[in-house]
Amino acid sequence: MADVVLHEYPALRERFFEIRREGLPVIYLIPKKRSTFYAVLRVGVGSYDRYYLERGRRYSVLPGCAHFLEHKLFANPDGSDEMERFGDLGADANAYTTGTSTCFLFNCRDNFPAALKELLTFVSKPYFTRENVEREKKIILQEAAMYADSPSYRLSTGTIRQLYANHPIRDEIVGTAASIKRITPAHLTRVYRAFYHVFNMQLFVCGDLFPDDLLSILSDVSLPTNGDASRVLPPADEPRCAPPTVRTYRRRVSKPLFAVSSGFPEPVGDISEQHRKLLAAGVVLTHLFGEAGSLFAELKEAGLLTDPLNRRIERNRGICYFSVTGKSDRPKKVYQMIRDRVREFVETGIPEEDVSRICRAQYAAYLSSFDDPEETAEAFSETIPEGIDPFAETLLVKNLNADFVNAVTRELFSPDRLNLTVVRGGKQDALESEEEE
Amino acid sequence: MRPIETETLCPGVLFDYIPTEDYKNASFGVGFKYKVRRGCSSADKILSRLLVRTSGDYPTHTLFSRRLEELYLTDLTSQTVRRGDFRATLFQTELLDEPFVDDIPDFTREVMTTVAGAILRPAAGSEGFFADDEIEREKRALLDQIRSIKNSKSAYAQKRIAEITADPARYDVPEYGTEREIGETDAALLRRRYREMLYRSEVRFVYAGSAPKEKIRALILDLFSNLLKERKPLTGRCSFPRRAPHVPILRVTEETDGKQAILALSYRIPIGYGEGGHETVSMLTTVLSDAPMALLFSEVREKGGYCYSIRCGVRLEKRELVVLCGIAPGSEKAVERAVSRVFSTVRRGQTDPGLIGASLSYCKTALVSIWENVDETVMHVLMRRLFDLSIDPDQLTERLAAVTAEELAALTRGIRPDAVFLLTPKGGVTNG
Repeated sequence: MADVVLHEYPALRERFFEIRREGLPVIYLIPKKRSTFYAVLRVGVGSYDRYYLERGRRYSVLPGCAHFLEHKLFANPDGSDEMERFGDLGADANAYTTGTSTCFLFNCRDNFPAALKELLTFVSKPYFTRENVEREKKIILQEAAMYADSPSYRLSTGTIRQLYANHPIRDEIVGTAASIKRITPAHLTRVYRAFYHVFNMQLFVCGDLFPDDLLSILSDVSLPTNGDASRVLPPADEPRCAPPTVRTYRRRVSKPLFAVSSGFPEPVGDISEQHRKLLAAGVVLTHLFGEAGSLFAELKEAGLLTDPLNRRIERNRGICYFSVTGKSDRPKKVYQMIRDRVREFVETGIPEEDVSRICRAQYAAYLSSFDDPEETAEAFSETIPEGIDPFAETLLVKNLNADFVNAVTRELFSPDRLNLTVVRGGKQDALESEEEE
Repeated sequence: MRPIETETLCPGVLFDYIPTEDYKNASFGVGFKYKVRRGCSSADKILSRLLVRTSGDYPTHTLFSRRLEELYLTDLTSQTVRRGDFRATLFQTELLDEPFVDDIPDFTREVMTTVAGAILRPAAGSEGFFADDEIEREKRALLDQIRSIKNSKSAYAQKRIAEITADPARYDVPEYGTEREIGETDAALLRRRYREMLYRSEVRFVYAGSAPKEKIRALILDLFSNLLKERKPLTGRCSFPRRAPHVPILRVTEETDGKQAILALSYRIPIGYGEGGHETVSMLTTVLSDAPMALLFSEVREKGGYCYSIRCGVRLEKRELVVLCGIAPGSEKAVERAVSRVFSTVRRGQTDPGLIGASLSYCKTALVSIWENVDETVMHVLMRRLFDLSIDPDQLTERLAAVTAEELAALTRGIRPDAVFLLTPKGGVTNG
């Protein structure tokens, strides 16, 4: 018997079903009248999972292991690659690993039932041999080299290293050359058994179908239910009052890249309230650093910027920060102007008309994305593990007001906590160096 | 395929209407096709950027951006592309739709009025359209864009292989022109190109959304009435001259920092943009790099373990196919051999029918996706119709489905290696 709950949002003309059935992950089905289907299976294991407990014993996980598993699960015992099977079904499959999850996904037009079964079946049949693991190491080492050479990737990892002293977000998702080389079939099997079970999975499906259709497709599918490992949460001993730092890296760049970042104190309140606060923080970032803001105009006028700044808020398992990135010949001057503006802003706040305009724009951005099955399913796979669905989040944006946004500004933003990370032109050292200023 | 209703508003100005019902977005596009002029690529690019930054009603970028935010984040973008002797500058706006209404929603009217204002009434400078300081800022931004290609090794390798294989007999510069052209661009040149874009061009309006056709048509006639006067017809057809491949293969190596080398292999292909047989080229690139377990992926990455990422792309207007991959320094010869083996397999007619089937499915899904996204639909219709290409997905699918291993073999036999560019860390093994 399946337990099906309908969540309706008439104001958005949207709805989704939450389906629970023994032997299957929790399923989130978003019906859409489209001729393509999109499915994501999310497994709750990522690069943050460096330890786990099983039968009272603590085990460690090599850096890059979750990502290695993501690659290697596509191998079949007959020597074929799972991609071929998806290809035969006319489906385009892919996978990716983050700090907190590993996602396997596909989109297709025809053969959705067969492709969905294939998705759930192949992740439950690992096949690791010494030979196929060794071959994969060469490929993953090239992936790691690609990231190591990328200035923007360096900027992003450098920013994180300034913000977090202990959290495993500091580790590369792909691992290090040394850790990749140490991974063995036995290690992969042990980590697979600990994390790849039905209680640690969620399935997101978007397309033209309803719960009965989906349950009938999955009637004979069953996933491992034997996982009894428990996750060891990342350390919560980050120094809270670390002074802001300026750090420089060297890469082949035509113009310095910079990131101004700051950790947020974890928002307090119930889940909905926490999300409201982060959405309000997004409004502040748009107001301060968006193309319609006065700071961007001033930076352009002063010849310090030519392109808009990129803004981002990241929050998951023990981390919460924002960053603003861009390119400038004088990153320190930009940093100084940003600090001054944040200082001024924390005191003056944001007027109601600006909040209303920005919220209107953000509401539209959410709403627009729901036309696309891929974007919709992706949005679900990102927000549901954080305790909210994208439709509810959309409505929260619509109802923000200036009082709330200004209160959040005072709670979360401080000009004295802003770090600067710079990637300048220059020789890239074989052994990475960080120049502290 | 959605039904498309096409109307001629006046000679050289057409309107395509695509009704939709169950989407949250509507989309409106305006495309201008006009002649490429030597030395004007950068001016054309700068012009397209200036026109989406300000308007006479909202004369600064800040005010204009605020206006778009007020209109529920209406997104106004522009792009320019060159096809042979012609350039297309395309403006597109994505807006929230309000379906099932009998009249044009006020909101749609507001958005289209703002877009028309941006295109037809740009912010003025001291001597007419376009303020000097805005022009200088856009010139700097474009220079930055060109220079920052260096920030990504693979983008830089793509740029270098394009430069190496450029045809010296043609005005074969990148879409955004050159640093010298940017330096020489001024308000007078921009105004000349602007007038040519508006009045010596073919113009196409495309709307996809739920508002009734007659209302949208009337609104376009009202807002863009200036465009319907004093038009000079655009004549001529696109041509894509052939260039013989380099014999022997042109090899260029550059040194860089870092851990990974980038290899770019360029081939001359016998089919140009809009010419018969381009479906076979699409199938070939899918079989080589886009389909699940495509040949380059399986041979070079999975069997050889030489790389993480390998892909190929085609520039039909240049009759060029480029294979690009990030590899371990010193492995370039082995990778070249592996890529050659892939081409040999196809040339001998030995492409696995299963892979051809998977490639067909991949292409079909990609085509369907275009027609299920109003923004992509509008851009697809604008581009293809401006250059007289079929937009019928059934027809395209039929042609793709007819491609066989023998046809891929015949096409591949006409492909010639032309140039190799290697960007390698210092101390890596280099080719001559």
